[in-house]
Amino acid sequence: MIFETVRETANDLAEALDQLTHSQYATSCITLSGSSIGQHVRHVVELFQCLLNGYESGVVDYDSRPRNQVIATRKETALECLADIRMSTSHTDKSMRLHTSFGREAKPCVISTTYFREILYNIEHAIHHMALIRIGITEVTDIDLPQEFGVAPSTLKYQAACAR
Amino acid sequence: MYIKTQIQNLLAQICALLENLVNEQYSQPVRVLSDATIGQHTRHIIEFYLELFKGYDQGVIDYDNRKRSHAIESDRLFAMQILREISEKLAKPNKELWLMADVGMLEESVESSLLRKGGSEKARIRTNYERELVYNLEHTVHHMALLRIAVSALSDLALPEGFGVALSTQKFRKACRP
Repeated sequence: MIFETVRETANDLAEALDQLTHSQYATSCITLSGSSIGQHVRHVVELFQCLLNGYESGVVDYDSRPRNQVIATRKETALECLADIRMSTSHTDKSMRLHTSFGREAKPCVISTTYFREILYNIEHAIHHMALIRIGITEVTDIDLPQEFGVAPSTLKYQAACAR
Repeated sequence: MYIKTQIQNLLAQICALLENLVNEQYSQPVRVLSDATIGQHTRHIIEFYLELFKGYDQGVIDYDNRKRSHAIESDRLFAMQILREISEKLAKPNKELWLMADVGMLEESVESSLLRKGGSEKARIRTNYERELVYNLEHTVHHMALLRIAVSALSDLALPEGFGVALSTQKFRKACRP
């Protein structure tokens, strides 16, 4: 079930964060062009929050995310947000509008979408950033992450099929 | 349609990068990317567009069906040719589409959304061509961020500042600059 995948993804991320020290969480990583693990976590969290906050009104605007410094620097806050996401994604599908702005265009493009499409997008978005977080964790710690951390389920399946 | 222009711009940036690489760099495993190659990331970007086009014609997109073509990931010039072809094919009228997702069932009660495929259940999600273009745009930017990491690991090539950085982030950084 799609919401189970959300919960699993949020869990995997939370488990990795549990193993980090505060300074590892907030330190800038050379391999990530100077961004920190915390900044990537914040990004993942805030996109989910944009979607959940937009469910009622039916409008989702990922560009309007607040870039909350606290989530990027305080691991506990990030973990609380992840717990929150795990609890609150389970809604019925509905049509929504996605606001997105490009380049010099002042007015946002409005694109039609659905809640489930955006949940799926958020899952994949999280996994992509977990791949980057993995790179950061490898740089600043000796933590051994599970092999599937930051790898898409379809890739895992493909790899398993190849190994057979 | 502005989305289309943005994508064309990104694909041109990738072409320009590939032009400046030698074949050896294109297919060299990069340790910091768990031994993936620039070619593999390029192939991955490309194949999502190919599945989108196929899905557009058939009404159902399944990105998991991508071919993982050896030719694209090993032949830089071939990849560039396909990138150009994609650019030319992007302009299409919007259209409602289904997206197959490997996340099991959506809800216990959803009747028609379930298809059995290779023994595993896939969810069918409502979407449309424009939404998938935006998805592909971002998917491309994300993998360009990984390409950037690979390039700096393998060469001294200087990439444009915005390579692999989302437009919203570029705007934000600009706004923050005094």
